Amino acid sequence: MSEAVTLHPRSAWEEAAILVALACVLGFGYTFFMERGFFSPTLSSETLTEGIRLVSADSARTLFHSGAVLFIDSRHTASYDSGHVPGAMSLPADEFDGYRVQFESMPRSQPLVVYCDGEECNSSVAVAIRLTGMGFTNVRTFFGGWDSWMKAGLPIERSDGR
Amino acid sequence: MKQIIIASFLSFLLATGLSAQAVLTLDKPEIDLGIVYGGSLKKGRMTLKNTGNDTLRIFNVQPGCGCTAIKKPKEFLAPKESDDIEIEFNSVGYRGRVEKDLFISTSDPASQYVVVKIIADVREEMEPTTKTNLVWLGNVPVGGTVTQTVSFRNMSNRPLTIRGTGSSVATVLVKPNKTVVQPKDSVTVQITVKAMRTFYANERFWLELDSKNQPRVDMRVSFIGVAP
Repeated sequence: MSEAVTLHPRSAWEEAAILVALACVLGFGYTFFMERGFFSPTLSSETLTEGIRLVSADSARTLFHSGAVLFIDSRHTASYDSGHVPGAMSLPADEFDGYRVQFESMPRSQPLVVYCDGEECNSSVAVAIRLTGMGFTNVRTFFGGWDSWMKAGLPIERSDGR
Repeated sequence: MKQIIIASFLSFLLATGLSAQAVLTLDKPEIDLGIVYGGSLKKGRMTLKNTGNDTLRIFNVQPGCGCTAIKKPKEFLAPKESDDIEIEFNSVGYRGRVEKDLFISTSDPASQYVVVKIIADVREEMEPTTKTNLVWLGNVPVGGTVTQTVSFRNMSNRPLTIRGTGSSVATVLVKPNKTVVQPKDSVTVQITVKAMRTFYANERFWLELDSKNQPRVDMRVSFIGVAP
């Protein structure tokens, strides 16, 4: 004869606690492995609107040392004068129409990396979109921009070549 | 009785804690710099006041453009305390009505992120006829020189005298074809550059005028030095 088994159903509070604990484990686990929150904007992904790719500071450094890309500085000329990525061409976003002449005879396959001050500016994206509109097929945006270039201790140059 | 006193005291603390709030008040909705003559710098300011009853924290003040330098206010403003944001707008490269943003983030729940417009009416007395500030010379063989002309028109209603010229490097020469430019008349300026190495160059040159409004007209010249 089998012994009667008495079930003790969990209270609503216990079930809620278990659910919360499971949600926390899932949430923290997702954040830990993905290195971003579930609802975080996906700006760190590789592709932005209009097919423009974003590059990190490490990638920007690698591209710079490769010598195969041309850096484009989309900041105001006063900022460009005070320091820029060595060899970068000036293309201020506010003066795009006047400065685009510099790029009109350039091969459209020329790899370009556009940057502005840093993550709080958006002129690099605006300029990258307009360069793409000119027919350039390999345009990247260095989203960390000048701030992260400086923080990484990478080489800089002034407009007078110093 | 004891419980009533304790409950009242806790309610008081809760009520005062919840009602304490920092409130950001700006003395004006935008910073209007008025008329700014091309190439000049113009300063402006805006006053921030904490009209709440809790400390206001100014997390950040960020101009939306490298054309604007700022002096930030204090990070913490006590109730009734105020401080200024000072800005300096660099009009180089702009003409006509210019609107730029200034971003302010604070601890005021109603003004966590405020956007203030900086407005300027940029005018020029001597204006390049191309309406751009850049003279592009293309590829220049290293060791060689290239010359191009650019015209400027006197937009004022009085004669303007070119007192001198200059450039950021000795390898850029500037030569106007006249020194006195009558109203609505133009002056042709010859720009000669010499490439010293294989490199992209973006340099400045300028005309010095006898105008109080616009004592200097700034332009850029760019080219790429290539192997001959």
